[in-house]
Amino acid sequence: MTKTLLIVDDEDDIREVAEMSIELGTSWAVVTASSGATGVARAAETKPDAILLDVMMPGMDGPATLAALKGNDATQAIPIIFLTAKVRASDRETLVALGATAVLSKPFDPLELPQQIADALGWGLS
Amino acid sequence: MGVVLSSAGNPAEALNDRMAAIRERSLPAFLLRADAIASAASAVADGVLDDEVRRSAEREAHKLAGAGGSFGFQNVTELAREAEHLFEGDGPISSEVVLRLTEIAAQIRTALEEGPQGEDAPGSSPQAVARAVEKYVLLFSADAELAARLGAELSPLGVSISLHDSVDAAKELRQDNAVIGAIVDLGSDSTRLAVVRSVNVAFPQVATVVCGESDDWAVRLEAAGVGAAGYLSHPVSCGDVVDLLGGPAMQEPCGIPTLIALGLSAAKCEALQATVTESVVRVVAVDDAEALWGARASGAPAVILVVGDGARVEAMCRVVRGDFKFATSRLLVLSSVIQPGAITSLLGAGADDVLPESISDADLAARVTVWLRRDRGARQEIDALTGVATQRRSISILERGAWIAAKSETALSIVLVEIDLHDDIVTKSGRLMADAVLAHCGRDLELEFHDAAVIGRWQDRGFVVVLSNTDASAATRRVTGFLQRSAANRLGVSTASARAMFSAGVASFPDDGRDWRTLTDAAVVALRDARRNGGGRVRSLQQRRDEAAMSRVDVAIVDDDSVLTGAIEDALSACGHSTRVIDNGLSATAALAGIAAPLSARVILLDLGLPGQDGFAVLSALKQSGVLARSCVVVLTGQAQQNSVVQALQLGACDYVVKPVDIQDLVERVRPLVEQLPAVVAE
Repeated sequence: MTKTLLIVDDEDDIREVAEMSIELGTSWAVVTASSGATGVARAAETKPDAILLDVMMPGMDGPATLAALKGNDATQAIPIIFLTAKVRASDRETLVALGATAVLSKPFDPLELPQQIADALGWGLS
Repeated sequence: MGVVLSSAGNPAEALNDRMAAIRERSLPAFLLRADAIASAASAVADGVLDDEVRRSAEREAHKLAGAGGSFGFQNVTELAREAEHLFEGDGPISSEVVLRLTEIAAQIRTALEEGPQGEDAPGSSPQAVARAVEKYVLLFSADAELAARLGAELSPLGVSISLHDSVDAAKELRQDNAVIGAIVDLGSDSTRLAVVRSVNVAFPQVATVVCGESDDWAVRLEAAGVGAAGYLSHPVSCGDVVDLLGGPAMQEPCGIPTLIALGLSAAKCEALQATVTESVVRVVAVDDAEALWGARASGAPAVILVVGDGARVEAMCRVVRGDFKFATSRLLVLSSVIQPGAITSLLGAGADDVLPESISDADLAARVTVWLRRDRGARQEIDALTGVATQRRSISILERGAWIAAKSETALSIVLVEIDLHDDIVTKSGRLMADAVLAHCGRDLELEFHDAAVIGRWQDRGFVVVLSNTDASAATRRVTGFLQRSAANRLGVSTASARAMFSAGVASFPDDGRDWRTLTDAAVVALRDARRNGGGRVRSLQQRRDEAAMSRVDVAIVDDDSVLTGAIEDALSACGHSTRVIDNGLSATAALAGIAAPLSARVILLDLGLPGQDGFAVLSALKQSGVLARSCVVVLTGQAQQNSVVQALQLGACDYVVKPVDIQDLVERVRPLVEQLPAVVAE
C-alpha cells in the first residue's frame, strides 16, 4: 500500500521543496500543513504513515505539535521526524527525548531527503 | 509531475528545473530575511534594538540558515547561522558585531542575487538582470587622461565614463536612463560653468559635479549657484566623484552615524569621540571645506560640526543646506561671536544650532548627544532606497523635484505609491518585517523606475517617484504595469501572515497643478481616491475627474467622521436622496469646485473642521467658482463655534446644524432644500 507522509512547515518554500523532492524521489503520497494546529487536524483526518515536522513555527511550535499528536489516540502511534536548523547535539537530544523517531537537518539536500526519511523509518523508496 | 520526469530523464534534472522556479519565487522572502538582519543591526547601532526585534531577527536568521542550503545557497546558510549566533542571548552587542552583522546581511544579499553556487542559473534573479544595465557618467572635458583615469577607477563599480565635447552630442548618444551622473571639467576656464546649466536641462535626473584648476571658494559658490552638486579641484579622485554623484546608484548605506568636524582641534575631536556615549558614532576630523565633501564616504553624516564665524561660515551653511545630499545632516556651528544678530544670521543660513567656541568638552558632548538622539529618531525613518530618507528627506526630495520642474520645462509627473495594509503588516508581523517590506518595495521601485528624476520615501509607508518627460497618462500606464507585475510576482511580498498591495496616485504638471505644491496636493487626492476605492489601484486626478463627472447627487456630505457620514447617508437614502461622501477638504474642493467641477450636488453638508483644507476654505472656493448659485451649503459645526457659524453664513452658507447632529432633524431640514432648488443642469 502507498505510504503517506505529512509535512508540517510554516515556510511555503521549504514545504514545496520537501514535497517536490519526495514526489520526484519516491512513490509516497504527500499531504502538507502550514502550521502546527492544521498539522494536528490533518494528521487526525488523513492518518499518515509518518510526519515530517518543523521545529520552529509561530504559534504552536514543533514540540507542542508533537505533544498534541502524542496525546491523541488517533495519531499517537504515528512516527514523527523533526526537521530543524538547530545544530547543537544537545538540541537534537532534547528533541529525540520528546518522542521523535529521528531528527533531520535543515538545510537538507532535496536529492537526499527521501533516502534520509526512508532510512529513519525503515521504508523503501517505492 | 510525470511529464517532468519523462522529459527530463532523471529525477536530479527534473528537480533542478523545478528548484529554479521555486527559488525565483522565494527570492523576495529570502531577501526580506537578509533585510531583517540588517535592520536589527542598524537598530543596535541606533540604540533602539528591543528584545522583541532581536528575537525576531534571530528567528529570521535561523529560518534563512535552514532554508538557504536546500536551495543551493550553502554560503547563505553559513552566514545566517553566524548571524543567528550573534543575535543569541541577551548580552550587549558591540559595535564590531554590528559591523559584522551589517556585512553578513550584505554578503547574504550578494550571494542570493548572484544565484546558487555550482550551478549556472542566469536570469534567476531580477536584481542580477537589472545590474547588467550599463551605467554612464558623462564627462565634459578636454582632458583625455582624466577620462582614462576615472574610467579605470569607476569600472569596478560597473560604471563607464562617457567623454563628450558638447551636451547635444551626449544627449544624442546616451539614453537618459543609462546616465547616472555628469562631470563638467572647467580646466582653467570658469566661463564653462554655463555647461552645467545645459547639462541640468538635458539630463535633469542626474547630479552634476564641477571640477577645475581653481581652488577658490568663490568658484565653489558660483558652481553651487548654477546647480552643481559639488565642486572638486584637480587632481580629482574617483572616491570624491563617487561620493558626490553617489546616491542610490553607487553608495551602500551605512549603519553607524558619522560626525564630521570641520576645523575642530584633534584633542577636542578625541574628547568628543570618547565622551559621546549615547550612541555609536564615528568622528571624522577634516580641516578644509573641500574635505567635508570628500569625507562623506558612507552617506550623509548625522552631524556636521563647523568651527568659525562670519560670512565664510554663513556661506558654507548655505552651500551645505543647498546640497540635497546633506538634507538629513544636522549642522552645528561653534562660533566665537555669540551675539543675537550673528546667531540669527547663522541660523538663517541653515545652521541647526550655534554654540560658543569656548564650550567645555563635556557640554559639547552633551549637545552633540542631543542632536544624535534626534538624528536617531529620524533614522528610524531610514529608507533602504537611499539609506538616508526621512520625513525631512522626503521634503528635500520634493524640493529637488520642484527645482527640476522649474528647470526642465517639459511634462513632469509625480507618482505617490503607498503600501496598503501597512498597519496590518505591523500588527501581524512586527515593525521589523514591515520595515523589511518597505525596504524591499523601495528597491523594486528603484529598479523599475531607474530613469526617474527623483525617487524617495513618501511619509510613513509610501514612495514618491517623479518622472520627467512623462505626462499623467503615460505615468499612469507605467505605474499600473508595475503594480500588476508586482502583484503577480516580485513585489507581491508575501510572508506567512502578510501580503503587500499598493495604491498609487498620479498627477502631472501643468494639468493638475501649476506649481509644485498644488501638484503634490493633486497627487495626494488621487492617491486617497485610489485607496478609498479598495486599494491596489492607480488613479490619476484626471481619470478621477472623468469618472466623477458622470455623477450628480442630491446631497454631498463633506465630513471626516465616517460614523456620522454613514448615518446621514443611510437616513437620506432611505428618503430617496442620492448622496456622495467626501472625507476631506482638498477632495471636496477638487470635486465640487475644482477646475472641471466634476461633481454637482443640490445640497452640500459641510463640516467646518476638516482635514486637508478646512470648511471655510472649501466654502470660499465654492463661492468663488459660482457653485453657490446652484447649490445650497449647510454647515455642520460644534456648539462652541458660534462665531464660525456667523462667518460661514457671511461666506454664503444657507443654514447650519449643530453637532451632535440629530439625524432626523437634519433630514427634515435637507428635504425641502433638495426639492426647492432647480434641477442641476449638466455642465
